[in-house]
Amino acid sequence: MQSEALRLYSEAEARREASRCLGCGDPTCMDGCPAKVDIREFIHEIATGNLTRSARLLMEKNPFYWSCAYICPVEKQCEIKCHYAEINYPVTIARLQQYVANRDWEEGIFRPSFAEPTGAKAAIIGGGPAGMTCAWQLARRGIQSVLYERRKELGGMLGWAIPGYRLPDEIRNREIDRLRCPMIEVRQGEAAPPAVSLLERGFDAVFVAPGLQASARVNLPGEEFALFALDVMDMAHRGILDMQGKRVLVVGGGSVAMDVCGTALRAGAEKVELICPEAPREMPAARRELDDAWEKGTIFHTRLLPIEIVVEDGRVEGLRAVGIEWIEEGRFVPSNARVLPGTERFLPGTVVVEAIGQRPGDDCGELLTGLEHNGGLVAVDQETMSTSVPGVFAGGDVVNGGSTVAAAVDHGNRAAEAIAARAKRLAIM
Amino acid sequence: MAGTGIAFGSVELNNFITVASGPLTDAASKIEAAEKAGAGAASLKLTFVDVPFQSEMRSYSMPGSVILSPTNRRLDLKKAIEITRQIRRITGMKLFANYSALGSRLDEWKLLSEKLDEAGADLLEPNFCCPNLDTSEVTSTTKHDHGGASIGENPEVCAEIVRAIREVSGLPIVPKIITADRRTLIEVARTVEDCGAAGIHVVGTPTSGLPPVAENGRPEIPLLDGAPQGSTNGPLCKYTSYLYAAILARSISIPIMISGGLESWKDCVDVISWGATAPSICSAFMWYGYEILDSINEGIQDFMDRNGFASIADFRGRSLRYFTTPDRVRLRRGVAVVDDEACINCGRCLRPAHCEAVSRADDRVAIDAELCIGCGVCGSLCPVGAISYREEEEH
Repeated sequence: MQSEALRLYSEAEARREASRCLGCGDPTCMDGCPAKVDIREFIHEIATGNLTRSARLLMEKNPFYWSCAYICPVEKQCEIKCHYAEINYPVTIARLQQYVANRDWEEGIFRPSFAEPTGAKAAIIGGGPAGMTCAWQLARRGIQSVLYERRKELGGMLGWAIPGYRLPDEIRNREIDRLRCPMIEVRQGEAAPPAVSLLERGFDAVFVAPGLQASARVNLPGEEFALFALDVMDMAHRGILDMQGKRVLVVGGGSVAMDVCGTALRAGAEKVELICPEAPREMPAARRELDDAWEKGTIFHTRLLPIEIVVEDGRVEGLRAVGIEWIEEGRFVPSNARVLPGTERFLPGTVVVEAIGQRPGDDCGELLTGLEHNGGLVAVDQETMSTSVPGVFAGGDVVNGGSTVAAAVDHGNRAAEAIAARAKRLAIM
Repeated sequence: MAGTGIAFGSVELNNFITVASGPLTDAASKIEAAEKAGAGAASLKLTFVDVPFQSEMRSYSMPGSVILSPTNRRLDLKKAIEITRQIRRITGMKLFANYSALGSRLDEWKLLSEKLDEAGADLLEPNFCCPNLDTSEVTSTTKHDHGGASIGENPEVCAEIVRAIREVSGLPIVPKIITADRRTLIEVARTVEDCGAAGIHVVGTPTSGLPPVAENGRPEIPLLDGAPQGSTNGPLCKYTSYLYAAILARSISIPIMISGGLESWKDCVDVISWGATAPSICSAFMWYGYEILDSINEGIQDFMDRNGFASIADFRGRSLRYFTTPDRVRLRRGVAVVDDEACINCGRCLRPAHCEAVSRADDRVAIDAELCIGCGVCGSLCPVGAISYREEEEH
């Protein structure tokens, strides 16, 4: 699919934009970055023309910085915290990041250095942003890893669940490929054994980041005839999604729901309508994602709670929904909704897609055997990402219930640091 | 409305801005364009009897900052006469003849003066500054063997040339000089004044090294191989122009023309306040065209109306009373203060390494009056102008 990202900055534009950065003594932009990238410095180095340091600062904190430059909801993260936003508009951090990534790709500016192998070895479950970040950060510290990925391709959700119009396929592929290195042994298409058992097989540590592989369900009558967001995104990624002439009803108000709307419209849907109980400002999706869906023609039905998928003769006819208000302000969950009498309505449609989030895959239970978890979400120490079992660490969506790539990267970074510290302790003992 | 014409010695100019000798003045059509735009005068491109060496402009150009040019266009006498005659036919704008020769070739200086006078120049601007190359090897015994900037560093040679020109032309003579040394500047200016020069044109543009490409060490100039150095033009040297104006205004009585980095009405007000009679502009027109002349004219007119000045001469030199030596500067005691309402909390003011007074307390910027040295740096860093300096009463 054709990327619809803005064109890249020229060198002159990048330098000019970088020069807008105030170089704040208190770079709040960095507070907004889940991956803790040193934004002020990477931008300063664009202005000084030292792109090697710029790329190093980005890569060392976020090995997926190229993709993140396209998909991070920056208007909720770094850019909204930019002090320049209070003067006129924020420094365009994401586009500067794209500029560095592209220059680095074209000219091979930054070559990461890897420490000599220490002999320590880790197992990593899941080849998504969290797992791959952890593996790469360990490799840099001289720790070998075996990385288990169940699917045929690496990258996790980044690899296939983000629509191509937001993130060009060649960029995600290049970014994933450049993280491969001899220190990381990838076992693709192979289900990992339970995490705890790997400790007994000679690994010094295990990092569990299998992601959330199943779609959450609303539990509506008629749901067996609905599609789910991940299925739609998977089909789109494989180029087999056909929405020609369909009237699509999307349930959900988050980023993925917006991706589904955008993807359906680009796949030829006649009409796309989004139904969610939140008002636009309450939706979890970022403003830009909302605007994109809206500009492409999505019709929004907000403060509306779906109650039934209407099916006749095995065909979806539409959705029944009711208007709601929140009982308690600021808590946007269906259990907090009060149905307004007389507001029930029928929305006709031929496809219903539920896009309300993800949950752990069915095989996750076995994988997490012995680990303390809550409905499949693993409990961890937020600093070190260590689980209830010493030596087993966890991160990514399976910890936070589904968040950004940058948040998963942060988990990978933290876990790698903790694992390296553990390896050092074990070596001394 | 205030008038923006001036008298430069005996030469009346319709407008106080002159177009300096350079790439803007090497053809009649370009000079005509300058007149249409409202410039008061133009100085013809540097003329030699015979063009001595490479004669095309090459430059390192950073708009708004600097133009470094190691080489420049030159005219030969024939061409200069032709242009001067053309100009006389098509415009009434005042034209300065700008020309040079070796220090020893008084015959050439005379020839150039005589011919350009005949052709119709209004003022002679013998050029003691171009080419602006390294003069460090010039000694007292070889001083006549050089040209360009070395002449402007030797008062005796300057005097000989000015006297020789006076033998052949009655036009006002305004030598154009450059020097890195202030004492020499004063000495040369006084010497030419004593020899009967009608004014002096000083250039605040030093010679500079060029920025090489980091990867190969080659100076970064399009269409030029390995240049040794360049004449520096543009705002980077503006403050030198201010200084030279002040030094000369304190040292001589003849009118002073100044060029070097001036590009706005404010720059012109500044340099005139420091004692210049006529600002001369080149690089700004090369970057932005003559449109900026309107901006300069309207800006200065507005300034004069606002402040009740009827003519440019009314505010000339009014800053000179502040032109003193550092030991006589009166220091006022004071500290920086932050306007909490305006502060956006960016913390830029926390960064200066020399400062121990600015800190953050309760998520606000605080300045410790005891530790503040009043240096003025934090205020310049504040993007919203929330820091000002409050004078303290002396105890």
